[in-house]
Amino acid sequence: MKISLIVFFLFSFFFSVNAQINSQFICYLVLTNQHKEHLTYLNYLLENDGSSDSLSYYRMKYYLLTKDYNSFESEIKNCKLCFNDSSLLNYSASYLIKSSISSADRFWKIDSKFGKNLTKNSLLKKSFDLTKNTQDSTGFLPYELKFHFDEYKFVKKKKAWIAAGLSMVIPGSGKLYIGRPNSFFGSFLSNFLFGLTGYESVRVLGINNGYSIVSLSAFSIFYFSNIIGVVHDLKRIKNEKKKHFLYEVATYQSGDIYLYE
Amino acid sequence: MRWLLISLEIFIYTNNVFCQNRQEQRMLMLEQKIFQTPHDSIKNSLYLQKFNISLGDQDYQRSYFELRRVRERYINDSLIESNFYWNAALISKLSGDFQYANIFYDSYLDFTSDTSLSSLILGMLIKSDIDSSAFYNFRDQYEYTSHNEVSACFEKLLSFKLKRKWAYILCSYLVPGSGTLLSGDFYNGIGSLVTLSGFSYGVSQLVKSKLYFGAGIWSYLFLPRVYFGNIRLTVAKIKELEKKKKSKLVYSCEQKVKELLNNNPIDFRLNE
Amino acid sequence: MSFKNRSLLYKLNPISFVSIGFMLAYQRFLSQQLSSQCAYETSCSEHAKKTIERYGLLKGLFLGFYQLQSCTPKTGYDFQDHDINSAGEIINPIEIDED
Repeated sequence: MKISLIVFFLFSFFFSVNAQINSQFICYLVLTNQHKEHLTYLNYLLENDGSSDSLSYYRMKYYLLTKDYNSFESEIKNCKLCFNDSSLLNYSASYLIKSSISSADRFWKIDSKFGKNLTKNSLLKKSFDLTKNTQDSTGFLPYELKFHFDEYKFVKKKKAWIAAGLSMVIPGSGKLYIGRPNSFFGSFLSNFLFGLTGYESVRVLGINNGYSIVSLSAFSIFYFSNIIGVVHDLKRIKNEKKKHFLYEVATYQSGDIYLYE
Repeated sequence: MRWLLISLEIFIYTNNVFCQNRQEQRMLMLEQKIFQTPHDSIKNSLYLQKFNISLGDQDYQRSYFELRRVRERYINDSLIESNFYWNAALISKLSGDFQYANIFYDSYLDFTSDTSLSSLILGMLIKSDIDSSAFYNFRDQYEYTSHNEVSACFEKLLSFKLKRKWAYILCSYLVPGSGTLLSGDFYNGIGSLVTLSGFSYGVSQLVKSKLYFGAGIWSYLFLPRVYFGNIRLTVAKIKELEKKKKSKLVYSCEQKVKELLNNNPIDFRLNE
Repeated sequence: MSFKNRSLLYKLNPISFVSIGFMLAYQRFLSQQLSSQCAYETSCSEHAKKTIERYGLLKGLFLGFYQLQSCTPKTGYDFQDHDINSAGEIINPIEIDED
């Protein structure tokens, strides 16, 4: 009876010892890119030990490593240990913002609701808030990132009606104003050439001629598309510069953070 | 009470063993052993074990990943080493890594001097992926008289080139659309002819009507694009034609190789 | 708003169909004759078709022609790195998502 009890406890102990999280082993699996074994190990721990804070923590790291942001977003609320690790939070925010800005925004809200709101004073969060109100102080931004923010601020100030007005006067000049200088020449040339053909056809053949109508229609399509397109493009370029600034901040912030150390 | 404890022990043991027998658990346990052992030779044998297990499960992506961890200098058994070279050559070929397949196959031949039909077929398949000179050298070195039609087929395939491609392109330069017509695309050929002649006629009419700016602008904007576009189209059609003719040859070669492989199958060597 | 969510009147607008039909005819018959290489990921005619579906005939047509006038070899220099795909083509989405 006693011997059985001893043997029973030894066996149970032996099998339960294998179920503890071995962080060095996990680091080894990450270094050797053994993602399948990594996931198997985490599932094995889940089956044997059940769910725990430390296991959730490692699972979140696994999702970030394999860029499974959907699973990360759905399970982060249950990981209390994650909300104590500011470097993990900053790393996640940096990578989430590169997949989509709204997912990073949701993540910050989760942190403020379920966690200790450690990301509130992070560089990326402050930069994100700065993009909403560009008049705020930029003292917290390092020198390398101020340049990108200034670019964004410069583009944000631009007005659509000025771009449209410039395009009306000189086709293609609106592109120079909004910041697409390399495509100015193509736009200007196409408008100029079609305008010239239209003018010549009206002068020689009169406005009621079929060819004049075709030339003038071609010119007008190019002319109006140049105006409407530049207004639409200005919205796009503002969005692009904002994303570019936030991506640069995310890269800067995640530069010296490693998921597995 | 005694029986309760014994049954509990058996339950825990079988539960764990059952879990461990699942494939991923097995690979994980091997990886744990690799992590724990400090000796390179033991690690290598475990890498080899993982490689063979994934081959047996037909998980070729994983086996190709595991292959890159194995170091053949730590393999002492000659049978295991020859099987390893064979499997490595085959898995590299299946994964599209033709250079490594070639290296492993050459190592296999150097190690075993195996001139059996299966080995020569595999060699032929691997060498034909490298280039024609590798294939010809191999064929000349290992002259196999049987199944010559297969090697003749490969030779035809490797040396296949569409003849007088320059003629199609020259025709396109001289008469736009003719090169495309000759390459077999009737509609695009006629289309090129009609488009270019239509534009040229339009430009000439503009010149007649004294619309010189218009003529200059339309001809500058469209005529070079249509003319050189027609030549680019001819080049694309020539490539398509070459591919089409080659695919017929490929099909006939494939049938011959399939027949040969049915009689001399090539498979992984997993009996340890 | 995507094409699926639009009203029936919008979806069955014959003028939109005609204009998209012209684009299809161009793609089928003329595009191969020109064999031009686009700086953008989606070609100008394909972009015009999608913008007509999304924004309606006029705005869609103008945006399509705007891309046509902007399509030069040096246009890529005006865009950020994350807007260029691995083949060196400019990614031009139809919607400007704030995301």
